[in-house]
Amino acid sequence: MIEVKNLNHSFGKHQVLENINLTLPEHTVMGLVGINGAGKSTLLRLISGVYAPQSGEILIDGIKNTDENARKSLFFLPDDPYYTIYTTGNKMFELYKVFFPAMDKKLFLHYLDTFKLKASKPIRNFSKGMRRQLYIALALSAKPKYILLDEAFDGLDPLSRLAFKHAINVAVEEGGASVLISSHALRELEDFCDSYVLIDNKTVASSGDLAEKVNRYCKFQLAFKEPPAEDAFKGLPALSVEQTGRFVRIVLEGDAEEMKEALQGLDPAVLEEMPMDFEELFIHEVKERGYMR
Amino acid sequence: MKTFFRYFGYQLKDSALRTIVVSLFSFFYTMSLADTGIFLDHVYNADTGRYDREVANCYLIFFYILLIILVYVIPMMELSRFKNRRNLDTLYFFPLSRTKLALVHYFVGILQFLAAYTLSFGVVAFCIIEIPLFYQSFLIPCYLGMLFSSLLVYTFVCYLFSSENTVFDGVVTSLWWIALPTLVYLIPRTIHSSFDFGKPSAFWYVLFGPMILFGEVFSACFEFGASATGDAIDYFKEEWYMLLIWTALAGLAFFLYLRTFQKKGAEKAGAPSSSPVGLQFLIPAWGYLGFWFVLQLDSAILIFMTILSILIGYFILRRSFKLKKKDLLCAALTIFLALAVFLAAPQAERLIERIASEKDPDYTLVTTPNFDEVEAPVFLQGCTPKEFGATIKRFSSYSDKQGNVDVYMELSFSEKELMMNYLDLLRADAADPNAPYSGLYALSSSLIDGHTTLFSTKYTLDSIATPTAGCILTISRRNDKKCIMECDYGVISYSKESLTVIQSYCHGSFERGAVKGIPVLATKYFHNGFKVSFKE
Repeated sequence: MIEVKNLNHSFGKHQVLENINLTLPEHTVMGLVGINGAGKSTLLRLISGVYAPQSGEILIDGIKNTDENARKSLFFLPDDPYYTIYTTGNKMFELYKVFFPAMDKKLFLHYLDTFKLKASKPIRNFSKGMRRQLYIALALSAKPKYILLDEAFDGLDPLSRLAFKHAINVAVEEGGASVLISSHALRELEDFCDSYVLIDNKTVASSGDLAEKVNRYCKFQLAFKEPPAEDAFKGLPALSVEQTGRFVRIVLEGDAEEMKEALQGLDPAVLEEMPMDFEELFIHEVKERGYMR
Repeated sequence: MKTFFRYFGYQLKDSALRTIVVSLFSFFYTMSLADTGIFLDHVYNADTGRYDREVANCYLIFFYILLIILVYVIPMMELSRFKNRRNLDTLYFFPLSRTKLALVHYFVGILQFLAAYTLSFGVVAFCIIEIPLFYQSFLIPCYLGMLFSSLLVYTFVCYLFSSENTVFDGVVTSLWWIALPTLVYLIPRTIHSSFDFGKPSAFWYVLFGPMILFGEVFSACFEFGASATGDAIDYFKEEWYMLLIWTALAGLAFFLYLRTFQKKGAEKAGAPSSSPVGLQFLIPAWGYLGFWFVLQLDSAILIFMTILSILIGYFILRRSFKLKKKDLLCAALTIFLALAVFLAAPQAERLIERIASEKDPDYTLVTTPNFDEVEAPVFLQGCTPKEFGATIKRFSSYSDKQGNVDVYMELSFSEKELMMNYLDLLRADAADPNAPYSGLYALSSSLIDGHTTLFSTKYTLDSIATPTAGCILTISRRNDKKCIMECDYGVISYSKESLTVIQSYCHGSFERGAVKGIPVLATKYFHNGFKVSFKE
């Protein structure tokens, strides 16, 4: 388990993270979300030991993350990993094997094969997505207990994303790994994350079980014979109401059946339940906190 | 520890190509310059009665330059990867403490240096031992001595480079701390002999940086091998604490190097300089020194250029023409402080005179930079050196508190015969008690060319040695209390019955001397000679 306790960090006078508390349990995939500049990458760097926090504590299986032994079970994949102009996949494997002796070459080559990459080719010739695929292959073949991924889906094509998600699931279910993954691709995260942490305004704005969070809300699309009054939905626990003439899209907090029944009372010509997704919830949540672009 | 050694092995392997390239470069560099000439000079050894040979420094200077390049470039190559934030995201998360990370790269760099140094030293040693009569037993102590001093400088570069946030700032800071003080010491003396501060004491070595020590160890090692007299080593016996100071400072630098790795945040990589010993300190410190110095030269253009240099330094620090308020405040304070100190002194002494007086408290150095204005002493029966076809290469005079004047001239004759004629005149003049500059001449000439050094005082001639190998050196009695002998580039021996001084020199600096049989009061070494005070 990774525990972050009362973590504070700033860059000079600019406070980035304030009083962060979170726990990454074992055998789980946790999504780390937030707007640009929220501090997600900083938090990952703090957990992985790249940055030293100004105050607070980070424990990996009860040991402080500053202890090199604690980091032996952790693999951090930053958004732009290290390589030199002559580095190949094989060389990167050799480098990582120095620190993770249990790295599986066969597994590494298997993943490279899945992504159609060559281990002997210089990394400088790879595209952004290909580099990411290579490093994901490294991360998974290291078989660490904890994997921290920063902008994991960035640059990956849809097929690669599928393969990646599948590989993560295997690593968690069969390998017993725990994954903390930060990404703006919330729809992708929703597919395989068990839990989430939303960083906003320097702190943890909300967190919890992802499915539970999504299931707490329901979305409906309605069509009326006449445009409804502005206050027609006033009595309902609406998160958001979008009205375009006779058509209304509404997100409500509560049980879907109960909400459906309540909406039937407004006598719509058409009432249709829409799938609710995490991205929409995220947008609503951050908008509520005053973030507008 | 297993991870440490695995990473060390990986880095050794990873740097193999770089090591090979650097070593080959060093090898071919030293090989290609072997033909520049290892001049031999004849040195008469009074003890053995034979002529020893001395290796001129021409070729060795190139080797010296190579070592300087290696101790700068190698740590920078090893540590430049830590100046990139992207790299640190990976390197710092690895399960290896930052201390161990720092140690790996420190020692990998040393091994790279060792390979290049050993290979090039081998070439130099081969060239030298080919020369007959050279003392080959010096080779290993020489190798180890230069290795030691190289590692001192290497350690300083490691700390200074790693203390900065970018490669550029790291290079500038390293050069500024180590090379610049040395250049302050070396450059003025090459412009004019008046700026020759002589061989500095340990205090000045601390001020002028480790490169001076590096150079001294380098020279001492080869001179020891050339003469096996150990005279150069005698210097270190007197100033042993200089070596101790620099070794201790290197130890401190090593500790600070590790501490920098432990404490410096990865987020600082690529950011403007924030090192406590970096540009933020160096710009005002050197700005103060430079401004105070140029104020004494009374040159408006130099003053303006110094102020401009300070501002340019801040532009480079900020990498922008937009300076912060604190930069402007610092620059203004620096200038104000230098001006205040300059004005507060009752008389602004010329820096050169103050330093010169430290060389010999009994003397005041008066220099005449324009040789055409020199009134050559009219003591050679009315003849000036120019009338003998001599070119005055250097001229200076020393006057002591008693009003005695020593004139020092370095003359170059176009023909040896002219030089010998001049010598005859000098001898005749020396015997004339009525000559205004009667008495004493110390004279030397080299077999290589007609380069002659003239030195005279108004004291009574003590003895004149018969020329041997074309060289003459004479000793004077300074006063009733002690005998002082001054010579340039000399090997001497002295006995109570007669004084025989044998001297030789070659281009460049070379010092050694030994006085046997006479209790020595003090020996003071200068860049181009030495002064021995002894009891009669």
